[in-house]
Amino acid sequence: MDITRRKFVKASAIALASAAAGGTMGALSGCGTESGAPAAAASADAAGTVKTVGVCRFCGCGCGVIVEAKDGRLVSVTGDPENGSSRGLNCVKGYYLANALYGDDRLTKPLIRDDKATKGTDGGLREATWDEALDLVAARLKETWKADKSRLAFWGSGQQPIVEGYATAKFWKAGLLSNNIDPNARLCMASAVVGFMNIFQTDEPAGCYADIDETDVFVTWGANMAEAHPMLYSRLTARKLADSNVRHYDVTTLTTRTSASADKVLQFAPGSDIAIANAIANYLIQNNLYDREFVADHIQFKQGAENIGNAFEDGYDASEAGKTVDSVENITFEQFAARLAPYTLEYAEEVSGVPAADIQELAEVFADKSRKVLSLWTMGVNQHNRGTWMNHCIYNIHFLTGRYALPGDGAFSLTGQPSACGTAREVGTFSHRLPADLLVAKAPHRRYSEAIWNLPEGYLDAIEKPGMHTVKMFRELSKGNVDFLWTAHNNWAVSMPNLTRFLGRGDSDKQGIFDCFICVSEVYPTLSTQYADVVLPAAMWVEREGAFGNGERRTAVFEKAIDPPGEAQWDLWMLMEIAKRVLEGETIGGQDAFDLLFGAVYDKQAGQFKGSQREVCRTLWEEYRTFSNPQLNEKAAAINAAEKLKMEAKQLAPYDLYIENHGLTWPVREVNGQWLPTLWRFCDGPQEDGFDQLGVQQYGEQDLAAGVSFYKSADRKPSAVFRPYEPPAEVPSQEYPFWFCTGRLLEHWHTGSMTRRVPELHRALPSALLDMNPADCERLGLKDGDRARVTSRYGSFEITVSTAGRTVPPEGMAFAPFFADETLVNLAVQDVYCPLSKEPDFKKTCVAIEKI
Amino acid sequence: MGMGTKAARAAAMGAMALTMALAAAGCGGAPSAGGAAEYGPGEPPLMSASHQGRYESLGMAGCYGCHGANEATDHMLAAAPALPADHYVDGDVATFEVFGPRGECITCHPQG
Repeated sequence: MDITRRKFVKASAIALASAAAGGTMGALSGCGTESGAPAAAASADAAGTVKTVGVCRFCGCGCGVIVEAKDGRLVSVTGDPENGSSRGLNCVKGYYLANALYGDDRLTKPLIRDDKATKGTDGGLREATWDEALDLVAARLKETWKADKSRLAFWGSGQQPIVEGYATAKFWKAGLLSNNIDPNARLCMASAVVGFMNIFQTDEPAGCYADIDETDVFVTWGANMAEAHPMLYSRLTARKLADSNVRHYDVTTLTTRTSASADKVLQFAPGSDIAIANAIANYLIQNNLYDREFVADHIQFKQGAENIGNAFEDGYDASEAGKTVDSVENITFEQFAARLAPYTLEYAEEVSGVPAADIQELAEVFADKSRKVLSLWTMGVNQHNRGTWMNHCIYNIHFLTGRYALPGDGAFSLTGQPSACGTAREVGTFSHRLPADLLVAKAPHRRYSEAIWNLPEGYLDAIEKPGMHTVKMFRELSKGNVDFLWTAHNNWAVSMPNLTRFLGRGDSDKQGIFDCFICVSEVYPTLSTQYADVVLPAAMWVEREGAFGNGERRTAVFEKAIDPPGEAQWDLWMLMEIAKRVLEGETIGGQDAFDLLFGAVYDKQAGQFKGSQREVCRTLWEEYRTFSNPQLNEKAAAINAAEKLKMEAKQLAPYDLYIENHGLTWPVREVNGQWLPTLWRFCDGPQEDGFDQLGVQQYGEQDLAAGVSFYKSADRKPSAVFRPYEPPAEVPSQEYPFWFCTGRLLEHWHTGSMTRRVPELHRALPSALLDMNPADCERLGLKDGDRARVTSRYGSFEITVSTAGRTVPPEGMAFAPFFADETLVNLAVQDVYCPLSKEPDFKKTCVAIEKI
Repeated sequence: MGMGTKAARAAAMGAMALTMALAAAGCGGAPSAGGAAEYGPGEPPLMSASHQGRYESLGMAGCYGCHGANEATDHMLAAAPALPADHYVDGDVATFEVFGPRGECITCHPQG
């Protein structure tokens, strides 16, 4: 583009305006608002309207919003210009968020299923009192806990607000001494998480959203940001339009809306992205195009277990391959280079189908140090049978070229959910985690947690062994090995893969869902509630106070704006009421167990919180914040110092500052009484400008290459780990000749349980379509609007075919979103997972497609 | 956006077409996609059915041509709802320049 954006807009507008105006003869519509005078202003100023600060409850962008309520009802949700993540922007889902609360069928009373034979139907649930429902859930949980606590489970979410996630993890891990708790973030972020931990020994992105505004070249890897991270994609296109020299390379298996802004689309055969990434790394080394200084100062090299197979079988984790997937060994740079050597451009082309010249062009983009390069990736990388490995391979390229943790120059794994970072990862609601990156398997981490939770020393040794990860949880449930399951902030009966098995629609020996006692906390009836024994009606979003932590480490509070409908209750209240019943009569170190864990916020005799929701959230936050501020707890401070845990490295600020500042990115440092956020982690520079000055000064080393210091990593050196290309778990065959890929689309959040109840969003995207290549349709005798059956070795579903859908798959591939429960694409999706992260591969199920 | 009713909008369009007179219907910029939509404060209107494929083929310019403003055109000429001020650089329509991230129109205005 050789004209400025201003000229571009003007010129285009002039040309198009005359054509458009021609048909109207210049009639004046007289629409009530002048250009630029938002019609919303009048109602926003109306008497009785109350404004509160919030954050969108949908995707991982974490857009700040201003919520307006009047007479106990939300009247608008608009962008919050003071939120540093979104700066007033949002997407269509966020702007319609108020309506998502007002579906006709909100759950307002507890429901109980008396007859298990009605499971899987839309009937069989009757209204109950809270006491009856809570007594029943608590009794079943306690019964299972006392009998065999390996047979109970909690499945949480990256949509669970922070303090609730913290309290839930504390109850499960310290109260029940169980690690059978895992979030749905296992389905979206686990590969990124394991990548972070393996490489950096800390689970966090170094960059921030401002990198999008500063980079010169975007490389999207397996990422349809236009649909899944709309606000960030708007910034990407804005950056590109603002500077005609900015480039975008889209590395993808199918053409998406995100491809529209790409200068070049590198469309690769599913699973072959590792071969491409390795070829780029090899090209950089072979041609001496890597950054020697950066590599010498910052990077150590490793290789790990290979030929690790795939997790088809339930016993995979315990197999020889499964047990050794995490093993790595140090190698030299020369050995690392030798491992990469077979990955020539030609080999990568052969494996991936991407022309060698295009791969070389991308390698040279990375090599050009006069320009900044930002890699962005999402589920195409993470939901991958080698998802953790592919995360490694992207970092490898950035390490070789000295492009990490620098403004506009970095590798950024985008989170999928509003609090996948803040709750699932930071609080630690995974089966192997404790709060603040701590691991159940490490004794010093257990000691540290015991100190903050005021538990006897050694008390948490009972949870030394990680619990069931998500897929294992549902696999065991299907076999009848889980007797109690509580789920919240998710809709597992639509979002889990291999639903034919997990919903008991397949093998006769996998009908466990009908026997397990299932409690579902929900805001609307869903397919999951059809399998629930008890449904607990939950307050939704700003019907209570909460906080989310988004993809750029920003913690933001959403204030309570209105009361929940009917008898719906705050999830934290449900947790307290169930915890007090289950822990009745239990002691820890001679003290009443419930009071020890939650006495600071809840009066169990009175059955109410000790203070307002603001006060309760603040109290729990301050306790959680102690994990990253060890000086607040003498015993913890001593352990932190003795074990060199560096817990201050992820320092969090006092609760109210997050409200006052409309969110803050951690670590938040106290400097002369002021709390200053950090935007660019590990990058030395003025703290007041968002750099990690204090962290580098305290733990790192200044004046190293690029001015960064990876002080959380072992020896202050992140690991470049060689990972080989290994093929997908299954490849197309005569019986199942197509790849099937599923994911999100713009208008609907995940399983659509909220967004499909917003008329405008439903109208914009009323049903799930099977996007197919026209050549495949012709060959199969399919045309747009035909119904087709899609069948894999896991199950099948029926769907309407389109060649004009949102995505354009190549021949041999089809795509459909997973939001529509009447279509339920996950009946056919494989539950094979990355052996390291245990995250399922939703992108590469092999299927047959036939016209119905 | 505006709170005008379907009937009011229809009246406005009728007046516009027949008399080219100022129809102060208070339509506030919300299109009646499908004839049934009524948008609340802050809710971005969906693109009407007649706009199928327009953004995909023309991009932001395809929207700005009728909904934007510059020296040579006026949204009213096209009988199109005007972009609100916050869609422009510095919140100022007089810049005639769409604020960068607002240029990805379908992020907020999908096809209805």
